[in-house]
Amino acid sequence: MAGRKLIKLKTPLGRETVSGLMAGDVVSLDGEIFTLRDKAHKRVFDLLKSGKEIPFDLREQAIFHAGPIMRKTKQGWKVVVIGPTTSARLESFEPELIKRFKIRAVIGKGGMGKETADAMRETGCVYLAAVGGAAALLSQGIKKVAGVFWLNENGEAEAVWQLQVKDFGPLIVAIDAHGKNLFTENENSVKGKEQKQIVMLTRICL
Amino acid sequence: MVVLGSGIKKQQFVEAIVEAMRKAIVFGSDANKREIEKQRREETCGLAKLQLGQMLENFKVARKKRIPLCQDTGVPIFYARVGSKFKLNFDLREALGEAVRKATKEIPLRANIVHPVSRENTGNNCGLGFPFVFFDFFNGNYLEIVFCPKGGGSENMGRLRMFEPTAQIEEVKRFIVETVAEWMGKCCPPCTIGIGIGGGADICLNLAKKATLREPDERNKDKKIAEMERELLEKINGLGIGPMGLGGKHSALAVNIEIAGTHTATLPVGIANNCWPGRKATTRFYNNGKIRIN
Repeated sequence: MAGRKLIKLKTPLGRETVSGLMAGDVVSLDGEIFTLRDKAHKRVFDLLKSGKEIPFDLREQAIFHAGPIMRKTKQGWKVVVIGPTTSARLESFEPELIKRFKIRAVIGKGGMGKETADAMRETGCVYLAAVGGAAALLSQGIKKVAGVFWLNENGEAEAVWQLQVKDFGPLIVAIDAHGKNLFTENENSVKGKEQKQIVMLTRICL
Repeated sequence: MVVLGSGIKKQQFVEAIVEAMRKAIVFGSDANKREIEKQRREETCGLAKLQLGQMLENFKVARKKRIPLCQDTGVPIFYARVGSKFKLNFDLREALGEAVRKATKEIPLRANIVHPVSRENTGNNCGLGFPFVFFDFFNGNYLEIVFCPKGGGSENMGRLRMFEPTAQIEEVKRFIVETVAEWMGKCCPPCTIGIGIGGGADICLNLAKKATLREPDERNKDKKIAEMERELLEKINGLGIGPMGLGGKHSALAVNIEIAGTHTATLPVGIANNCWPGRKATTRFYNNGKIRIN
């Protein structure tokens, strides 16, 4: 990690802790996280729109864009493997979700857009990037399944899983609470290099 | 001519396919792992090195604990090559379905097949056309089944363009570079990028997918196509996408191109990719009961 120290964080993350993080920091989490992906986001907003209660408390929580493989044992639900899904699909929901519930951390892969980054700056929230496909490794940080919501309605992959975690990570602070977004920065850098690479493509090949 | 051996029993077949699926899902590709090790050695960007290191650690943990590398275990698509002298004694599609249901329970796999409109999950990775099986026949004495699952993220990045037949090859190369730049980190790079040129709209996408099954260090046998593969990889690396789109020296494991003849009025180009774990298993069944999983 070349001089980069792992910052150990404990949930619930307060605004002050989150404000102290900078894009490029590498962190791990102890505490509790909620998985929330496509169907779950939609259901939260459908319930809010119709004035109905949400059966779990998202206030100041850390959410994880993930659809795990689960196994039911005699001792209850166990996570077989869990890893991040592409966060970009949830861009239309996230700014509102962050502002309404003061979400402190969003864990996912591939980053999110400007509106989410703005909501993160306004509220005090960070985007923590996990390595896509490295689910076996990441799952070692899951200690216990504390609860599940909407299992029958959404199915196993899309249910809301309440997970207790220890040394969950390492995760990269890719969007901090000060507006810095490593994904969009790299995207701009790539766009800048794109023309140069294209111009260099040879004209004659076959 | 006498063909020795009485063929494979259905139960043997089902168990071998489950084993092959487990191999793909849990072990991934050694060639990809070697390439990621090489990229990590060459990488100078701290965050890129960190993430490549996690990929390597992930191979270790998955293989040690015999759990899936990634929670997105893809969808069951098989490529079957049936040898003319192979004694097929059972319904191949039905047997593959049985293997998929068994694999879903045992490996386990995530249930990933939903109705395209209602989004209702079939629950066991079967139904509504799945498992999909593509058949080819050849003159030989074995049955070969290839299983190559990949995540939805990489699948969603597939692209097709029907170029004018008079388009210059550099336009095709530009399309490829622009597409990969658009993908950024959404397909879990570094991926194996597959390009199919020619055939037809459906065929070029099949060629692109076939291209992703080649190892990262295996170049096309045609020297000029191989040169195009090298050039595109160089330009794609020059974009600086890096592992998971956070920047770095390498943005892909390989660019593989497959070509086919095409209608004189067309130039179809398909782009596919296979994410970094490189999940794949090839099983060969022989009449004498021998089974080989690679």
